[in-house]
Amino acid sequence: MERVPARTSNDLIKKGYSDEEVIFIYELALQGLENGQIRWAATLLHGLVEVAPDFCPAWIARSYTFMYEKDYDQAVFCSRQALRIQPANPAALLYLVSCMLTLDDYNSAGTYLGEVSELIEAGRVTDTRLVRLFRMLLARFQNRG
Amino acid sequence: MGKYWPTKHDAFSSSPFLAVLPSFGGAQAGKTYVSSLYARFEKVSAQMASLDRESEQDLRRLNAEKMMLENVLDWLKVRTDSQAEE
Repeated sequence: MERVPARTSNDLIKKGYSDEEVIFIYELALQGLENGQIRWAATLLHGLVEVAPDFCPAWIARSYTFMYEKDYDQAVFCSRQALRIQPANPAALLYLVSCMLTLDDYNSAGTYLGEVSELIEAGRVTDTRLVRLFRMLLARFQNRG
Repeated sequence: MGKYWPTKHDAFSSSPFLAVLPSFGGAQAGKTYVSSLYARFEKVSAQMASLDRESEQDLRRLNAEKMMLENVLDWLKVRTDSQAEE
């Protein structure tokens, strides 16, 4: 899985939350998502991105909640926020691909798919679930109507 | 018949986008954070009460934090209560 980017002491001074607290709240939100408590999880994630705006996983999970609610503009915004923190995050890139395909923006979808393809070829994506999702989205891109 | 537990493979099949979200091993040791998160909740409530009406953006930010903490503390309370009953 992706490594948590080290937060600077300045972040801690500004927001006051420890890394352990941030991860605990994030994991709780993830548990909510897995149990189908999407709105409950979205409330946690909304707060989390306010108090820890440089915690990339929270932005991706927030993007998931917007995708679930079919609010693709907000989902794109959150995925881009994740990429602002980790520019080569494959999960955030794949989320963007899905949003772009849904929004019929095939040029952007193709560009992001290309970025993930390069990451996979360079051996920078080792999680098989990410590779499978890439293949699924690639097939969706190639079969577009 | 034994109870069915989804495997990681099944999790991907049912919700691939959820399955690829980064994970750090689950929400453990929640009780450790009760005091600190409650203190933050008190602090954010006090901050909200002292804000003037012009600070709408700050108010929104603080409200998001407060709602998050409320939900987390409720979850921790329910979990603690159920553990005490066992």
